[in-house]
Amino acid sequence: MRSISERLFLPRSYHLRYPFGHALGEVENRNQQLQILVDCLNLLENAEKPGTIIDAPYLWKRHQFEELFPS
Amino acid sequence: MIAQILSFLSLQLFKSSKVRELWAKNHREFEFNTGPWTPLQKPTKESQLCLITSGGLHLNTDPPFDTSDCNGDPTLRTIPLNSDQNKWKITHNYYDHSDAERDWNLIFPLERLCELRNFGKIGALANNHYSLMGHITGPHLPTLLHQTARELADRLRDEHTDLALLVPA
Repeated sequence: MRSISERLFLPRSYHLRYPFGHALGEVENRNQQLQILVDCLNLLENAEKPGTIIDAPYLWKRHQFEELFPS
Repeated sequence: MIAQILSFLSLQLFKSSKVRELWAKNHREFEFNTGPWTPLQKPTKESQLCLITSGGLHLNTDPPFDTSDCNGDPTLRTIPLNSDQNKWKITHNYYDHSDAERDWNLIFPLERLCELRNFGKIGALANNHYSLMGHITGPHLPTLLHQTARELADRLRDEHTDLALLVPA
């Protein structure tokens, strides 16, 4: 889907190579979901021009996510 | 009859991740070499955020998206902030949403955004959030662009939303 973000010249995009239907990752993986959302908020704060795309470093089912916020 | 057969074949093909990736790579209905830009007006911790998904989510009391049309359904659904998740439903044939129905956060992370608001990372969440059906093609694209998107933008402005987070499915 990165190619669609590029062609549409979206203002800010956060790109994850995750399966369709899993935009925020795995079922009940709270730490993963919160990390991705925090990354998106950081992108909002830090992007300086339209067309900014951040490629997430988190491989599908291979990344161990830390607890950012106590549950 | 022919339309129904084409729709059925299209759905079967889209169950393959390779086909979906190929479609995304070659999907060129719109192409721009510049884009809109609105600088952040205030920090996210002081901003109101609205969540939008293209995952075909809707309240079970609202009309489902039309899956009989092979070009998709370009209309909009509203998901109120405090709506009962037991009344949420996905009507979308072009992706496997079985996991999303076990954990809505996969395509509509409203629960997680509430947590981030409570932890002070977001100022507020809008009272209304929105859902579309992805995979809009052909004659419905102009409707999506010129009617639905404008209606959505009007609502965001009227509801004083600062940030819009679009989650594709």
